[in-house]
Amino acid sequence: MDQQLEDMLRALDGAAMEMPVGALENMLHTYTFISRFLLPILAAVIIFRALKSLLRESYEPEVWAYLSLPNGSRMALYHWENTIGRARSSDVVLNYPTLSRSHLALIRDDKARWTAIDLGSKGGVTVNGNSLDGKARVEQGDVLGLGGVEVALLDLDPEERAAQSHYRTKPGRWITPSGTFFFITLFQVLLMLQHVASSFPDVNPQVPTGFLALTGIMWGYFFFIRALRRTGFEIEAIAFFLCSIGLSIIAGIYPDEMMRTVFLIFVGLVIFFVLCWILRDLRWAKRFRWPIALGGVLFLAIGFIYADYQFGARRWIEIAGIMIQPAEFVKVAFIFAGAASLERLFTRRNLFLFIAYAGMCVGILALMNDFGSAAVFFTAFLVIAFLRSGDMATISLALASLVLAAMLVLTIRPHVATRFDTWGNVWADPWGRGMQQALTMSYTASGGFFGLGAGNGSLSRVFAAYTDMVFGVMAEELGLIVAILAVVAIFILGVFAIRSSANARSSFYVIAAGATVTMFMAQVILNVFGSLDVIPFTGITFPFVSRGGSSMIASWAMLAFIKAADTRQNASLAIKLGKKVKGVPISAGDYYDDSADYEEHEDDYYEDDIYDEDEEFAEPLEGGIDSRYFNEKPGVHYNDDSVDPRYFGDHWEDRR
Amino acid sequence: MKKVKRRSYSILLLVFLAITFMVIFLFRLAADGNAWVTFPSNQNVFSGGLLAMGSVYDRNDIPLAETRDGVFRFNDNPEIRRATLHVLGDRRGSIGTGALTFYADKLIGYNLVNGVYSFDGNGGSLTLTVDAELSRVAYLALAGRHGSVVMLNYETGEILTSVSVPTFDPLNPPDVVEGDPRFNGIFLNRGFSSAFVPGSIFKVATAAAALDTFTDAATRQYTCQGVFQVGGSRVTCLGNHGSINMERALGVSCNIYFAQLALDLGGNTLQRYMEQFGLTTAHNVDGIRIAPGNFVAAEANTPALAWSGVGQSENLTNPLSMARFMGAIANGGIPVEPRILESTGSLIPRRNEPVMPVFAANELAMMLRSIVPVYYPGRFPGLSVAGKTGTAEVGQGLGTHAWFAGFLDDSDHPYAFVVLVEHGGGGLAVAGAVANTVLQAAVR
Repeated sequence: MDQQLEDMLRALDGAAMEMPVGALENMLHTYTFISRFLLPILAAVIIFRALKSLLRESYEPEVWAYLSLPNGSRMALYHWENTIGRARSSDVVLNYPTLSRSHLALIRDDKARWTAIDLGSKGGVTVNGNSLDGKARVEQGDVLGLGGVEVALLDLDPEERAAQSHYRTKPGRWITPSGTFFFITLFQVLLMLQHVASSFPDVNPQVPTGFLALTGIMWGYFFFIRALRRTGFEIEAIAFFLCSIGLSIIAGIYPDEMMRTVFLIFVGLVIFFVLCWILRDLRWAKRFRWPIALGGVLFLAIGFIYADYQFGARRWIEIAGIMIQPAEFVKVAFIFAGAASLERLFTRRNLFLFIAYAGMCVGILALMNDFGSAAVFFTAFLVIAFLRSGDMATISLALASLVLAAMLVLTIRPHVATRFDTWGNVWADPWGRGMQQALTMSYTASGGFFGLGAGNGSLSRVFAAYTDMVFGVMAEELGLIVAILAVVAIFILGVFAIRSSANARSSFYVIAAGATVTMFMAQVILNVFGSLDVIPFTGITFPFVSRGGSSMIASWAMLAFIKAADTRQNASLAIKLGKKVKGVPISAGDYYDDSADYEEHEDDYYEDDIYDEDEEFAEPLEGGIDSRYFNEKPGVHYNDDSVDPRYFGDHWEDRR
Repeated sequence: MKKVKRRSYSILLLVFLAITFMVIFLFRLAADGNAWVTFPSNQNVFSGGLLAMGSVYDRNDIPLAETRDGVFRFNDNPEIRRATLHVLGDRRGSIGTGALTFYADKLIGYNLVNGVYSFDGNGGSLTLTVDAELSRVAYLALAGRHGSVVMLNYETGEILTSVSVPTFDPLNPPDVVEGDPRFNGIFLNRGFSSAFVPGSIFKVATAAAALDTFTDAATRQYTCQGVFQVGGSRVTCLGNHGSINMERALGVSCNIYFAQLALDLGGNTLQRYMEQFGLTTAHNVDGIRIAPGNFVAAEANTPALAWSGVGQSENLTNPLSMARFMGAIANGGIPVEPRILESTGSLIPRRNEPVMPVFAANELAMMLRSIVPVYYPGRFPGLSVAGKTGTAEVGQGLGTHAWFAGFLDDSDHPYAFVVLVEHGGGGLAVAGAVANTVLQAAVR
């Protein structure tokens, strides 16, 4: 650091002496020198805000209905899909000896209709005294007999639901999203100026306009989504942060591609939006499941047949002059194919169809020599299979078959075996087989913690470094800290998706989000640690950062699955808001008065979701509500032992 | 849902995997990052495979190589370039012990936190202990003959010069042809990385071992009749010295005296002493590994044992290690570790344990000092040189190696030195002359 201080003083001294000759260059140098310390700080702030908002803060679960028990107490249903039984793993644990371990499933659909499914219980299920054969609709107030134990289903009426959505903490409560976006904007501006400094005086006009366009798109998205009354932006913030880094890499090597890249980010954002729209309605999501899945594998197959054999793998097909990597898009289809609602998990226990589907995808990818993608798909397959079946035997079988397949691959594809040989020995042949890893490691070390400045790197000029060796490019230009934070960003998404599964509505969303983050994390692990020789090298992209339109669009599309699992109040576009309900006392909003920085206007929560055309919801429910179960005041009516109305503190977590 | 949720925790395995991998990588980066950046394909540091950053200065701040305004250049004087090539190294990294290669990470200005970032693009700088002008004199004194001149300050350990011939101009590196004798070992710093048959200079080591072993060693007499029979073989001597003591035996370089001394000492004793004297150990000069010498403990009463005490047989000696040993004799038995970096060496030289008792060192120093005016008269005008010649038989019909090893008994110029001229002929006439030229320049 002394050396740096000395350098800086010398530079300032030099700047003073040499004015005006070279003064501008010296200023630009000095700017880069200073801003290279600011970039990691900003990145850390951005990541910290996302981390705190997504992982540190506690958010209350949604309550969808209650079960009133014979002893007079009530138990809340926190999901659309609930199992009831004696087992501790049931969502509602009823410890009566006549109940089976998993006795009954209670499933709600988008239209607030409840279905009861007998999970093969010994004691049987009755609905209002009539024996249940398989499954049947249940209505508000219906009495379910579970092996002789009678429970009543008490749905929340729209007012109660509105009150609940009022009380539930919205994201942005502690960490304002506009603040995070502001820091990302600063990050983008610093990057852009570093590029100007490094390429001065031959600055490509696309560089500043490209960054500006990205900033514009980001804020446009922000205000558009705010207009839709959503306040959760952490996931998108992470994506925009990573896109900024990706754009910076493009600016350094292909400045003429800046606008094209920004356009691709925009396309990705649009597809993200559309997919969120599909996913917000579980019926739609389920309806689209197989068409998308089949379309995906067909696309992959066509891709395989027509793909050009390039760069050691048949990963690309050319359509109208645009290079497309089918594998990237098939990820979305794969997730659709793998996700399943609870009803399906119980009614179709075997995974045969999905195993066949996964085998087809992984097989085609292996034939295409795209072993990186094959590994990612296989990891996602393992996770989906485990989430769906919970069956270690299936997983073991799958792993065993992988080992066999791997041995087969190693015999018929010697170049794969070569990669394993090179692994750990790259410095034995740094100009040959170990070149990519040796370069990545060398340039990563070059950058130090703070980097050489955006656009000052040399690794990006190495062929394909901007995809497979992108960690080295990030570390060289922006420093190890920013590069590691980019990795951390993806893993924050991963942990958040797992965390939010606790409050998810349907297992469809849990599995989809789980598969998505598995793919993201597996990609990053293979990309980063493969290029750093910690594991064997495979060519694979780093989501949002690697150059390439297919990867960029697919990454955004997959983000929709994470967004769909985000059930925090008003967080996600992929989750419908409740209906506007009159008569909920505004005074109930007093809880937020202490928070000066909270921008949300309380009126917001009662407005209609302008995109929600589902009118059924607003219809008055028949039969009314048994007032015994509620206190007089709306809004505080869940004030009993089972549910804390305001969910203050972390008490609710104990019950999950 | 609870089941699915619990199962989803399995995904966290990937997080732990990533953390593990990242920790592994960061450890490797901290340990080996300095080596990684010196990968010649790294364009931040190398340009077309040539080191493009950093400055190396001699002890008087004469630039051996300098980067200014982002432009790398060597010293202007072609003689200095050739003379200092082996300590400086070339830009291609052919000379592994050269500063440009061995300390490339420092020249790049690499450190873990800052990477190779350099505000002015000039990289880091190093100051070596060598004297460029002295090196030039030594290079010229060798006059193209293959060999090595090593000189160090035996009080501080600073290596003042380490010249190795054959050499080349790093500005115009030659296309080295394998097998061409002109390029034999051209990329080796002979002083650092080679070991040669020592011949008679090794008698000093045998004498030191004897002084520590036999209380009467200084006065002990052996008889030389020109030929000495041992184990059915003959040890020959250049003269017929009659009854002779150690000082005279050193002066006339009597083979038979030291052959008998070696037989009396025994192979194992000699071997132990050679290791103690640092003649068969690999020294470390600011991280650079020095080639160790070789001494094989021969069976008792064999010609091999007799010849090993004379510096023949399977003996091999590294010039720098011999200079260090000469320094130890001058220093009352305490060797000083040689060093090449002026900037990173601590001000107080590391004091070693004595390798021989003070009286033995002083006795030996006195002998080496007193034989010079008597047996090498007029060779070192005006210098208080202590030393020993060596003319080593190398066999295979090749000419003898000419050696001169010793030190200056001069508190203003506490220098130990070794001169080797490969296949140069007689030790005194050839190596002694080179030593004189270099020493005259060193004390000037």
